[in-house]
Amino acid sequence: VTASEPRGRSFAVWILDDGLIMGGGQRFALRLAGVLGRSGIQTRLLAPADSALAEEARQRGLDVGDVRFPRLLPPALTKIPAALTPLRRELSRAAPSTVVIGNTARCQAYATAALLTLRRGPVLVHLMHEQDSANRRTARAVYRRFGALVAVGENAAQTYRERLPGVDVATVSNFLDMAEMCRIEAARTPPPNTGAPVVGVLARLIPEKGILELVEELSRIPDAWSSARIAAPPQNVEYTRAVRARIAALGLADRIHLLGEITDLDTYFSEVDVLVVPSVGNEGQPTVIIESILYGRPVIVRQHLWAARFGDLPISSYQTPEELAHALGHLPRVQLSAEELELRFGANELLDTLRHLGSGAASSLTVRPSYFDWHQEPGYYRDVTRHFAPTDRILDVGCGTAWIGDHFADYVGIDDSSEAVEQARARGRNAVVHSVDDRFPFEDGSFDGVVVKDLLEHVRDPAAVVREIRRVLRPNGRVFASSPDAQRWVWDDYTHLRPFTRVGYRRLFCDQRLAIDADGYESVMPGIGLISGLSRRRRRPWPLAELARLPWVRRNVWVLARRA
Amino acid sequence: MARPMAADPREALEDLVRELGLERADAQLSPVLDASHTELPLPYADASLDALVVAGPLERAEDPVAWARDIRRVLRPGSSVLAVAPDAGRWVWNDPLVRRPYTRKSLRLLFADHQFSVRSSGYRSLACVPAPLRVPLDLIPGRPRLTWVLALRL
Repeated sequence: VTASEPRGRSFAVWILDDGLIMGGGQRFALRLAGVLGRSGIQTRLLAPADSALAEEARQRGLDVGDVRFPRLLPPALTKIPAALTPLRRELSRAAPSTVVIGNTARCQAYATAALLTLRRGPVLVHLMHEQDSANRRTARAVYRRFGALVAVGENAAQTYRERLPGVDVATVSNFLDMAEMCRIEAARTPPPNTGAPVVGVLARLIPEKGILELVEELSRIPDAWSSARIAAPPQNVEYTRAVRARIAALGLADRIHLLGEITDLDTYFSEVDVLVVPSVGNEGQPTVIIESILYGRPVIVRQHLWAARFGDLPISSYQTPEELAHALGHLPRVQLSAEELELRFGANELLDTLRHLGSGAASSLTVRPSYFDWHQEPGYYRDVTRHFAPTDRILDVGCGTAWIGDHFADYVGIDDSSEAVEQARARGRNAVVHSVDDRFPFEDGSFDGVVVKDLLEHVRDPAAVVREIRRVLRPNGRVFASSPDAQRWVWDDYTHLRPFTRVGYRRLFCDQRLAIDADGYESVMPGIGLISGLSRRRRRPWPLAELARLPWVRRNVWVLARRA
Repeated sequence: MARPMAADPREALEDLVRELGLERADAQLSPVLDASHTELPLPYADASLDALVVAGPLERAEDPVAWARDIRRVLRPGSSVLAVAPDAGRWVWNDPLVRRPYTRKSLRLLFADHQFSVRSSGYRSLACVPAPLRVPLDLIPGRPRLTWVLALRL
């Protein structure tokens, strides 16, 4: 930090971790803190003071704050408020350009809850070391709305991109500190190279690491390897027992050695020819891959860990035992220097990403949601899209950010707000600026379906809009419309000109010679979008949908009409 | 027997002005417009007023946003506006000239979204009862009451 920088804008990085385990993610955090510290960037670690991680961080002279992250499940629920308050207080002291890294899923949930109630908070970065969270609906609901997503490893990033369309996911490579890389390179020894290769595995004994699977695979190709040295602390007792039993049953006890936790990597790597990473679970980019290459040992990974950026490195992949045998028989003898690897697996990429997020370029991530953000795709989007076939040509009147366009190949949205249309276009959706007070710029009968959602309460002459909708619909084409019911909350929005009732809404469409196919009330009570987003059908869950029959539940009227 | 159900809104407004401490002995009153005035722009020069009370026109206005913009135009920077409008409820439609009611939320947003800083806001019951009894009635939606906002022009 230079003296000329104003205080409020100084870049700082805080790392949140629950310190439950001391795994790859935690060592990543310690390495990151070390690199940041040497670059003169203020760094803090917030973790439970009695965790192994906090202990290690204090020994390295890091600034450690004591914050607790109790489980988010019933027995510990009562502890959540007590844990949230100190976290919120800590975060409220961070400058707006501070980047707060949620290093585990649980920390990300806590940080989101704490920051949502802060008017001006730091930038939250969800740092993903694995892909598990992509399969959790609650986690996806958070990532879609709050914080920036940074994934370690290309395959992790790809998974998040697939599960969260429209959300930016930055990719960074796992990294090693340059000093550490040079130290390993200096400790490099020639491989034992005595006939068939000695296979090394560095992991933890948990099902995700795929050690049981590797034992099976090795038993099928007994001639391709001489022995296997599995260095893995027995984290999961049952799994450790299962691995031991399987090795004994296959009669491989003299060839496969379970070494437990090892601390001396230099000696370990001097005794193996190749490192195999057999992970079956979701994993980003294990650090051992970089370490192994630095020790001069090629790496064989299971297919799903493969990434395009491994291209010209001594890394191969396998899916079947035969492919593993082939890879073991053709080990590349490429030796890369620390400088060469620094270009691929250095800290610079990560530092640049974090700096970018902390600077103004990412400020849009932290400002409070604008009017259009609240009209993003709701969790119950299927309640709207189910009325049309995906191949239909759809017109969306008053489209906002045009989220409906993601569900139809042939889609056009119109909106009179150029700001909304700009946002829609930035997301690659087809929208044009047009006021509904004017004649629609489309030919008669040119659409299979029209969606007019939350618009008619804003326009001066709803009947004229419905007349235009009928004109552009083809015969038998359908229109879905919804607007607020005549309830008090309608007047919470000063741009609303009038509410409707179910009878009034039907008449509005009947009068323009449209046949009503269905009509009703739909619940828009606060939070229903989030709840529906957790449902498999992406529709309002029926008990909540039924509640909309009660006149005091916040609701819309809707109509599905057809051009006769 | 005819009995007034609600107090005269004018009295409620005068009470409110007194309670908010907006009365000033040296106030130079500009011509007061009739509540049915719905024409824009307002007949005042730009940045010519130190304070403004708006009661009546907002619920009759076709475009509340245009009103917020014009109110901002005639006020000096740092001066304040007290805006009053009927709260949403069936009773509002008893007045055939009303186009739209408000809630505290929409009245606050109307000013906050157009470069005012909202200082305070609230509800004021129109029930014809002594002050201590009126205060709890202020909080109950549905019965005749006004919503008000005191905002500073930025």
